Amino acid sequence: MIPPRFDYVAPASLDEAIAILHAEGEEAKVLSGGQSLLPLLKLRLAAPRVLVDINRIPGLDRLDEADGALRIGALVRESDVEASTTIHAHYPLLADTAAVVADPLVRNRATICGNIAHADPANDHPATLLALRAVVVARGPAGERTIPIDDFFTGLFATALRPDEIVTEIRVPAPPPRSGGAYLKLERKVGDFATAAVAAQLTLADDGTIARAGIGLTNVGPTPIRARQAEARLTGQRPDDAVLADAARLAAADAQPVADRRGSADYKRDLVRVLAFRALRRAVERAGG
Amino acid sequence: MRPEELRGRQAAGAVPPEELDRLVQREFAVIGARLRRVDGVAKVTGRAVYTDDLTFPGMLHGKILRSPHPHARIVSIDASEALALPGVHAVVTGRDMPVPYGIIPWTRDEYPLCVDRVRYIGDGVAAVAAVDEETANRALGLIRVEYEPLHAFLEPEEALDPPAGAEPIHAPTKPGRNGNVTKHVHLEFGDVDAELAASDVVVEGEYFFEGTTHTAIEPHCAIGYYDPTGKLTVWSATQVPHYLQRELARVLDLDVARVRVVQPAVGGAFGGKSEPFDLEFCVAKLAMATGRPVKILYTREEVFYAHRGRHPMKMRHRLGASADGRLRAVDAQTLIDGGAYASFGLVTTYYSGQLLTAPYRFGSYRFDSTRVYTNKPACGPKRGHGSVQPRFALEVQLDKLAERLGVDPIELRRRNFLGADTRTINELRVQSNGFLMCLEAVERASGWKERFRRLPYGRGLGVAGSCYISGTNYPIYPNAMPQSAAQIQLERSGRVTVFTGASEIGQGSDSVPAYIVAEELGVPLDYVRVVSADTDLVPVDLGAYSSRETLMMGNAVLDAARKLRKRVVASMARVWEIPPERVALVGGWALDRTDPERRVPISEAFNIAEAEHGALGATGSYDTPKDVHGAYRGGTIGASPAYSFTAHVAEVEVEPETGVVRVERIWVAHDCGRALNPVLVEGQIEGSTYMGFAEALMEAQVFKGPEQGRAGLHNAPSLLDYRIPTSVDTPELHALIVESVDPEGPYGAKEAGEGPLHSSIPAIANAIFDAVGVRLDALPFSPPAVWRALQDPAARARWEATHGARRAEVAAD
Amino acid sequence: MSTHSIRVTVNGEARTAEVEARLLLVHLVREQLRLTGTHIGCDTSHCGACTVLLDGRPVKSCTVLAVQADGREVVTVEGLARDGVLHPVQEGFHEEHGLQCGFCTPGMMLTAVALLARTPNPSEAEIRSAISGNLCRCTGYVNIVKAIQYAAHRLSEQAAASPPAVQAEAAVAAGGD
Repeated sequence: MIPPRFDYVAPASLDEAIAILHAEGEEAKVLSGGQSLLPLLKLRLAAPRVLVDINRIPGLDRLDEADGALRIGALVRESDVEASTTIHAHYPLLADTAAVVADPLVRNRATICGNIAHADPANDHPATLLALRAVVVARGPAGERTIPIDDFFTGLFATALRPDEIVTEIRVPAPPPRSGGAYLKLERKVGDFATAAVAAQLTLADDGTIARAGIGLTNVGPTPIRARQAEARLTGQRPDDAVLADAARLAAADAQPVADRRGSADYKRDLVRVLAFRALRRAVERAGG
Repeated sequence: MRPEELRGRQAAGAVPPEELDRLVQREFAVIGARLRRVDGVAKVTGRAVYTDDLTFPGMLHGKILRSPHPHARIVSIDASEALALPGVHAVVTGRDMPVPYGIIPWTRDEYPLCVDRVRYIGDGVAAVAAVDEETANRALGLIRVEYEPLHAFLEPEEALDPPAGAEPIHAPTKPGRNGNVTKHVHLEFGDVDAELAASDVVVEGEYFFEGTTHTAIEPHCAIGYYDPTGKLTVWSATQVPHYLQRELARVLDLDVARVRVVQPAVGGAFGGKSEPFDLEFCVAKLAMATGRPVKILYTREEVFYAHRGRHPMKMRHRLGASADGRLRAVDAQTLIDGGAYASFGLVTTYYSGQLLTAPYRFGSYRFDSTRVYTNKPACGPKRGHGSVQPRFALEVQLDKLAERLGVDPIELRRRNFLGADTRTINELRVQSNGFLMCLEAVERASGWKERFRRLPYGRGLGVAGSCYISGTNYPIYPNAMPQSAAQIQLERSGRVTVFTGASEIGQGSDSVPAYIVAEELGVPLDYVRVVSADTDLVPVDLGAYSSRETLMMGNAVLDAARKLRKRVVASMARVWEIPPERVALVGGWALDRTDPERRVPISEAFNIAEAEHGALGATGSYDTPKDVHGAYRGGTIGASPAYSFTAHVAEVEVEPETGVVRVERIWVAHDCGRALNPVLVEGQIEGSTYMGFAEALMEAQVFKGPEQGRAGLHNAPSLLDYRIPTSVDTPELHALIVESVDPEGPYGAKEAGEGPLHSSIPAIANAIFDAVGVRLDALPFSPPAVWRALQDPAARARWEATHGARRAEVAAD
Repeated sequence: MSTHSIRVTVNGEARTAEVEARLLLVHLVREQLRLTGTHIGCDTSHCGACTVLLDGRPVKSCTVLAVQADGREVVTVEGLARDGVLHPVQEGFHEEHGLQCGFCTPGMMLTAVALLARTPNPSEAEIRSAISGNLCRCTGYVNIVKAIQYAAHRLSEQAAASPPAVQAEAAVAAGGD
């Protein structure tokens, strides 16, 4: 299968890339990992006039901690996150997530920034980054701006990005001590999108109560969902099983699943409950609770 | 050249002389050894040539326009715009090939391209040959087809009982019949109603087996070329070159002598390439129209439309037994959803009943099977053709019976063992039968006695058994000729070339002749070359279906090899002045058994024999027994030279909260007669068991209903939504070979490729019951389905009861 | 539609090609370079039959543009054997019957080569995880796992037997960084 015709440019700088995007408007698409975009092209579900390949732009592959945040550059691949000792040590939620995105071959190309820019509610990182309260850094003709993750996903396959903006980086606030997170995904087989998945991130206070909670849900609504009721239920509470179970029920209530090939709505809602409970428990363990 | 000049010309790879003593003592030098495949090096170096790897000067690319309607009349087709597109060389439609075909000569109900009616979304309507794929695709978009939609039948029940005024999918074969019925079979052996009435226990159940498809990783591909002398050559990823050759000639009205079919390496088939497909006729016709080679490669989506996979079956089973567990009656009623065309459906309908009568003895048996057409891609033969679905029902029924009677399910199966050298209730002749050894092997390996009904909640073991044919006694088209033939040529170098029509699809049918020839003629394996599946070069073999290759092609090769062996042995006996029985051909040598010091390289022996007998070549053939079946109508269907037997134990873990079933491991013991190469046999057992596991948990070829819009559209024509297991999803598989030498098989060999799929599925179903106390009578056991079943509040109590009973029994021991 | 001149090192050899922007790497390899050991099985990036090494990492070549390989190094199955000697991974698949129809085999082997370059002694779980993007429909994966274990063993034997310089070269040949 051959993709439709398009022009291809591989600019050497961000400014150049942005200038092309600005000139082309909706006709242009950014190519980073390409693991969603190229299949869409082959199936004729997208037909941009020009692809702007950012893979040859230097400096977009940083994956490090600076100024109290983890910086994930636009060209950081899922497999880089999987292999990073920093991420395993301090951001287990991200490590969990990267390990279950598609399959290992896809993860060698696919990028975290691309995963959110594509805004497929079935993608895994949106929920994780919601739970982690990440910030999206976007560059456009007017320069750089930051978008809180809560404002980023605006609809099905829709984001707050303008057509001439590129996600250059994701910033994840460094978790305080006694933090932990986990991502639990139920998939029909390896390589599948989630039937449902839950990202949980907790920080414990000195007294052992939950100081901060973040919960994101994957593929149970038109956009990735932040389970706010569940988060509220946890804050200030001791993380015992009764509280976690209660929060898990609220997370299920926050979900908006629809029946599809992966299951009925009631099944998925209950699955969110089960996965939320397990993810919270693991998060508590990892937080040293 | 005189023999003495050849002295010392020892074959590379010949066995060192000091090992010969040991080798001549053994029953076999090659057979039964763990050997490599003959095509292994080509496949690991990327040099194996598959159909799509071939390219020819001037080759055009073909594409097929497919119907967007599940059922419609074709009012008109206008291809003029497409033909006018630069780069387009030809367009053909159904009217260019208006000859019906079908793999079964009695049910020829399809055309290479639809002539006046489309019958499923994806049915071929027109084909284009163009300079490249993109131009061909653009041309498809320019073909104007006017359709008149007809009522679409998506459910088999509706097809069986059509609403007034709805046109049936096919014209009735006789006035007054329902054109939606492919075949109805009703057979009864013994008095089922009386036996049911006299039974102490009757178990009833309704079962549903969802359709599944083969999903070979290589999509179908074919290339046609019509040369200036008027000879057609078609290269195709087929598993039945001989049938394809015949059908191409018949449909295209060519002399079969001027049609050549070549089968390159095939990237998996599993029954999905075992009849002609539209692309093969289209490349041929387009090549004839353009004078240029034309290639068509299916997209993955088209592979799902081509289908011919496992039929969905709705089965109603009743099983009557005496208090001691003897099976007095089996009564099966089956509705088979056939899709748009007959394919092998006539056989499927019989198989759904005929192949159920072993490995257990039935006191009486009745089956009533009906295959109906629906407006979906045609179903056909997938690995374990026709009998995987009823086997699921029967083996779950047996598990329920064991539960009712409080008998261990393995013990229940033993009590009903059919036996060897016997006839089944429907008069199939069974000779070797290693089923009891299979049961014992899995019982021991799984720790069954210590663990069944004793594992904690959520974990379980289940058992099932099955049998399968090793080829069919009757060919697909009636004829009195051998089912398989081979030709062998010995060369002066000591090399041997085997010509066989057998179809290598990964199962090893290019390797088996090499092992047999190396065994019989004493040449090193590297000195055997196998030429196969090119109708210009090889004698006829009917192809890779019904698990027939090892038994039939093996026997044909053995026949030819033994004729040659006799000549070589006679010559050496004369030279050495010893009786022929003392001459051994082994490991690259001819030698005197009683005095291994007396020996010559095998090439020299061949030269001596050639000097005496003239050129050394021989043909061999095999035909099936024809007098070993019931005299009733349909009695020939299911009759096989030999039957394989299998037993499975599956161990599962069920997560009640999510409905996830994890199959931890499967032990599978398979009676393959004699394992000619245990490595190949284990590979077949593992692959087959894996495929059964996949059908149990994941796979479903399903279509949209009216409520989803686009009724009849395939719901998931991709490898994302049609789920086949990865290495991580697949359980640990333990293949255990059981050998019960069969008098019909080459060295006693029977099949191994299809049998081990069957009992995989019910063993998993039965293990789920052991784990959580719910019966899953509909496939697949997907997490939502298992979760739904576990919402039954009585399930846990049922589990407690079964496990409590077992605990009490243990306490009483 | 733009066309591009690219230079790609394929199996150690510098190659140049004129490609349309939309040409997929798999088509460059199969159709222009005529290296047909890389197969196409699905169209949707799921089967892994088209796996090649791109700068040492296994990728699905049906989901990379040929132009993206400009200046990079590609290894296909045809590049694994050296001087007529099979790579230990190829040897493993042959010896351990790690293949039946052979269609997934090239992709499966390239994934294995990359795994062993990174993890010389993988556990069975690591092997199964690494090849989970390569679908096999014939074997049930049992002998594929054995084949990779065989190769791991052979590679460690070779590493023990050869001086460091040769090891480095072997690592490059095996698709290491």
